[in-house]
Amino acid sequence: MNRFDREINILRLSWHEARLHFRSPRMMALLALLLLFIVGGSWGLSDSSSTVTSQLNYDTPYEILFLVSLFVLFSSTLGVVLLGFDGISKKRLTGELAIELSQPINRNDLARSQLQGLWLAVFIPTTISCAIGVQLIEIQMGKFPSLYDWLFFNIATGLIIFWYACIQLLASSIAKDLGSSVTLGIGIWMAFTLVWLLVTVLLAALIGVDVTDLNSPQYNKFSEIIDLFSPNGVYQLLLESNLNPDAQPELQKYFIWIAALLWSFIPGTLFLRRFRTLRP
Amino acid sequence: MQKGEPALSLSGVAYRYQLTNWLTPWKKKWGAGIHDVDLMVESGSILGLIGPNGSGKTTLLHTIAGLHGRHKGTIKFLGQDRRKLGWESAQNHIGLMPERVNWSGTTTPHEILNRLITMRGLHESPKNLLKIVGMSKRMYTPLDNMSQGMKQRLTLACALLGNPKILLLDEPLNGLDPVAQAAFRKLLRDLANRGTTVIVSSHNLNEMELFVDSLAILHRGQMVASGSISEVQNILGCQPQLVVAGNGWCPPSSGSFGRGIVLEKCEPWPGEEWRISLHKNGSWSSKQRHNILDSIEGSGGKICLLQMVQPTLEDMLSAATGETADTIGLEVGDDSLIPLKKLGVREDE
Repeated sequence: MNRFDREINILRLSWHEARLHFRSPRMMALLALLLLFIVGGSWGLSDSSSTVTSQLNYDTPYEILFLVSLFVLFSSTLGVVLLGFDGISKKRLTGELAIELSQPINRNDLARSQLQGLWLAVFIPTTISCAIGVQLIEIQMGKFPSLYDWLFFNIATGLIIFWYACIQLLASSIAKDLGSSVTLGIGIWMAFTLVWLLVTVLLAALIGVDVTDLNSPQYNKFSEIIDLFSPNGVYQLLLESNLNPDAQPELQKYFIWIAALLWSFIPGTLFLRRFRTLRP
Repeated sequence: MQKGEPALSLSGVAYRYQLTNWLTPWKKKWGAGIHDVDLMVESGSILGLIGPNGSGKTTLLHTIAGLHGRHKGTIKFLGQDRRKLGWESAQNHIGLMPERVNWSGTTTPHEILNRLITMRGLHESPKNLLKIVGMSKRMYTPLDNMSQGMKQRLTLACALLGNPKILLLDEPLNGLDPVAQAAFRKLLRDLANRGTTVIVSSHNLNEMELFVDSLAILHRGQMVASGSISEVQNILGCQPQLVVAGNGWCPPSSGSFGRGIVLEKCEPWPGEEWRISLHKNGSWSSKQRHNILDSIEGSGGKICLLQMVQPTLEDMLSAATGETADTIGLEVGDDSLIPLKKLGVREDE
């Protein structure tokens, strides 16, 4: 099989994997989350009568999308956890993994198809929800975000879903039973989504940054650096970097893009390496 | 490949599981595995792989199937070293049916097979495969609604994908009803007749006796004996027994019936007054049998039954392991390798 055929085969397998996820009952839970958070958030935030406790002036559709990204962070990443926390461990427990690993397919290709399948299963409904959200923003504000802004938002969203897919499948390949799968899956998501602020404040306090004022420039700069070590932080920084110049992060854009590349490369490579030596 | 030529040969194959502890990941400990396994399986034959729990049957099958990346020794498929064949070419020869795959979810057998067909880059129809295993009417039944027997058939269908030359079946009869077991045996024989080499691991020794051509006995990761059934019987010293039942005069336990003939058991038996089992090395001649009859009848005994009883797989397994149901009970051996042939191999090797 030549390289092109192999890539086509991986895409077909990824689609098979995604279809399995689409048909799973968990997808219902994910769709409910996405509709509630992304679609609902887009409608509510673009309503001119609504007020958000944020220092950001949200006058443009992209700024609304930026705020909606908080809901994406919560719902789509949780969706990856929902679909992927037992992506490998369940197959290992049921014995299906032994059948898959004994097939004449390169393990890298098989791992990539699992990864892409999970990514597609979350990215497609997220993008559809965001597209519905954009329609609602247009209804409320009378204008769409520019094509560039829309693509930029989707690329960043695709990236964070990819990072979480890598992390979840890596954790799932390490877990030997359902309990550890749940613990690792939810634990990692909670660490980045709910506990990260606490980690940032704790580290800031330890190195002597004033944490009594979380809006101080010194703390902001410090938290931006710490955010580079979290997928959620990098996602937010990426989207912020496309806001108007007043609201942009202090960090140079290339730092943020390097962090984004590293987040794509390191967990992805670790997962592929882990899969290569996986035993049923 | 002609029938009778070696389809699979193993030479000095060894694999041991590495045990790791989360708290001390730098400390690596070697666990159970297989040690120095030599085996040759002829093309178009059915090999029965037997051994007690934890003897390494599944590990051996997984090693042959390439699931344990690094192993010692050489595995040859159809005369070619699997390492030189390359991963994909080697795997094309193999069909693995793991033990008790617990298929679950809302997906269907058709979808499962379609996915595996894509993985193999084939253009087969799942329908044909499901027909072979008697599942064509359940093609679109969700996995959650399938019985264990149906799941077992689906697993077999997965193993048959791509028409592999070597089929590795781990406890394939589990969960199958008696009729399905008979059909399964017939299917394996048909496959073997068409040149497929089949290795079956099973605890169901009575069933195995019905369809295997050769045997391999594993114990504590070691290959104790392998070859045709008669060869294994010779290696293990399991010879046919002559069972004689009768009434009247009963031969004494210390009785002698000729050179090399040992009276193993003398017990009362319902319907007759007594029953004895006679054992000897080598085959029984008709003269020897007549001598025994004459000896008993000459002493006033009356023979009701004279029967040659072949050793069962259970007898061979007991002889190979030195353990019987009476002595071992339910106890499973520990996971340390106790090299039977190569004493002196260190645990950390």
